[in-house]
Amino acid sequence: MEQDRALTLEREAAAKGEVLPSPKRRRPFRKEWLWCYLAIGLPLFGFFFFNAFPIVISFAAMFCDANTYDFGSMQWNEFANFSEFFHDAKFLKSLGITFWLACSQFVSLFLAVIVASLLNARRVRGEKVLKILYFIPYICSSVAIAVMWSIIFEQSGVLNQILGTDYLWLNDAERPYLLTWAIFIVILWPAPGYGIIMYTAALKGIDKGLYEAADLDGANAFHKFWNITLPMIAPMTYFLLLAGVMAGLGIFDQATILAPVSWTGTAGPENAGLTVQYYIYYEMTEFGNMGYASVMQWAMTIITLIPCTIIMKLRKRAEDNVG
Amino acid sequence: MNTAITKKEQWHEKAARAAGRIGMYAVLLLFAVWMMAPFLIIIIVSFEPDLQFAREGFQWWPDWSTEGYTMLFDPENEFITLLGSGFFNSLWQTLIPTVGGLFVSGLAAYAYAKWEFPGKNKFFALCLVLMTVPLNAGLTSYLFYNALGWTRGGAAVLPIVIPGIFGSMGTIFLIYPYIKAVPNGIVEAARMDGMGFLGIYCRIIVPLSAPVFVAQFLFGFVGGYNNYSSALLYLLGNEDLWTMQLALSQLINGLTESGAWLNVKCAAALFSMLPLIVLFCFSQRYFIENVSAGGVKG
Repeated sequence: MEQDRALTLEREAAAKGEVLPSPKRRRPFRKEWLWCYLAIGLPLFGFFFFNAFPIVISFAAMFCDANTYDFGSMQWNEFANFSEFFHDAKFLKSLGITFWLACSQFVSLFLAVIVASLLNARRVRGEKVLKILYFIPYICSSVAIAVMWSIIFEQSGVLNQILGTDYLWLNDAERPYLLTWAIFIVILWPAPGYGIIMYTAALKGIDKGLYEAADLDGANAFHKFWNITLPMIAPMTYFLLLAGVMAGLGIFDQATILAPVSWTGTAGPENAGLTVQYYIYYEMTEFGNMGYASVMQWAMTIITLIPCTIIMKLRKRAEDNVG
Repeated sequence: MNTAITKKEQWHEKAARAAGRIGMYAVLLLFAVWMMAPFLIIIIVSFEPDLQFAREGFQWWPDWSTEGYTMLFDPENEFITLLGSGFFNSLWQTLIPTVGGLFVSGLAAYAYAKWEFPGKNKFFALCLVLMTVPLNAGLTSYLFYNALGWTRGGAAVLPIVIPGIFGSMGTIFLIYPYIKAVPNGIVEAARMDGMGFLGIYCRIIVPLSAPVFVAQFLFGFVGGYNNYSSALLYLLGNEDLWTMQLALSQLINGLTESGAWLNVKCAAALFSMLPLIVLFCFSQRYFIENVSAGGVKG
């Protein structure tokens, strides 16, 4: 229709001897475009259907009494979830434990930097084998790793024998912090492998000329590490830190295995093994209280944004420094 | 006089360098021991008789016995059927979203990198923005899948298998530079020869950017095989669909309730880790060389 009208307009104009501004020429439609739209449409559909919808529903559930197992049960409850949330000492405690556990990433990065720079400093015999050994724990499942360490933490297990102690690491009513430390170690143990591999790649990329110039100025090994190596690998450090902190704040698997909910309804003595995700899971499945679980999920999302924004800002600055 | 001083310095330098080397190897080996010791310990415990552990605790040199393994592989206990079906469930529940998602993400990256179509730049910018959206419903997605009816009976496996098939923005942008690097001349020549959109993707793009696809596949597979939280949330009530990790955790729970049986626990944990360790040993080159192309374990 529109094309016809344009044509008649053009003819009329030609008859009058005028020149119409040429209409924007439409590109010929091509069959491949359909394929292109299909190709880019699938991930977009997946994102909106499987990410955005759950987010919207979880947002709505914050304001409702919602039973986990019955979507139809959602009903407005006058901010009852929020008033409960702001008086919840248990959430604060689980938040503290989660942050403490996420701090294992700093230790992990520290170990990774040391090992990677040692691997990179000179020719190391068996470098390949060492890298493989360091990387194996990283590909093991968190469940299997938690089971492994629970054997080590047994009362008559190897750790107590080495330390000469008699602690119930995972269930000591007088020392509940032992459980948190145990989970800390279980998270820390497999983590450096990834960092080591990433750091060795980053270290190989540093310009050797920088070190030679420093040598001429009489810098010692420590000065070179502090003033050249660390700033040059800083972007990588912040990248690893970002990934690590996000994973650390979502800790769930290891806590559920090492601190199963006891008959008193606590995850380990005094909830010392209760991370935020674990709390959300427990609230959802044990009480079917999806509304409150959604409030905690959203609170955690917002809280996670704080360290992530800081790290991203620092990363941007470090990248500008490297140039 | 001069030569004596330089000689002395050389001797000092040599000693310092030797000490440095020894220190370096010591640290590296110590770290390797730290990373391997837990494996060694549970291998030892898996061969320690249950009674001995109960009486004497952990022994570095126990009365070696295969009790743990006979218990684990005894069909009457149904441990091995649980872990075996868990392995196959993990396999298909991981392969479908990993391979499907990789194909779809790669296809989108290929459309962005090698084709011109109206609105391309706008969609590309949209994808970039979506990738950085930090929102995630996490475990609370359950309510959405409940509304879809995907949490009852056998349909409970759908939330684990289906969303992954649609790929992810992160994967698109990891693959994109590799496809962009494929020379345009090759793609043009293939089009002249009459190859279509999919033909070029399957026969030219994927083979030429194979390393990134392999790395993505390996890391995706490892992440899927090790995934525990969504299996626990969706599949717990449906024993036929239990994945390896879920089967392992439930087996461990059951053993803890019925006494200690640490040797069986260790044998089960080792059994569950074996497939990935074997996979890793055969493909460690891809893991270690392409770690930056593989993304981060989810």
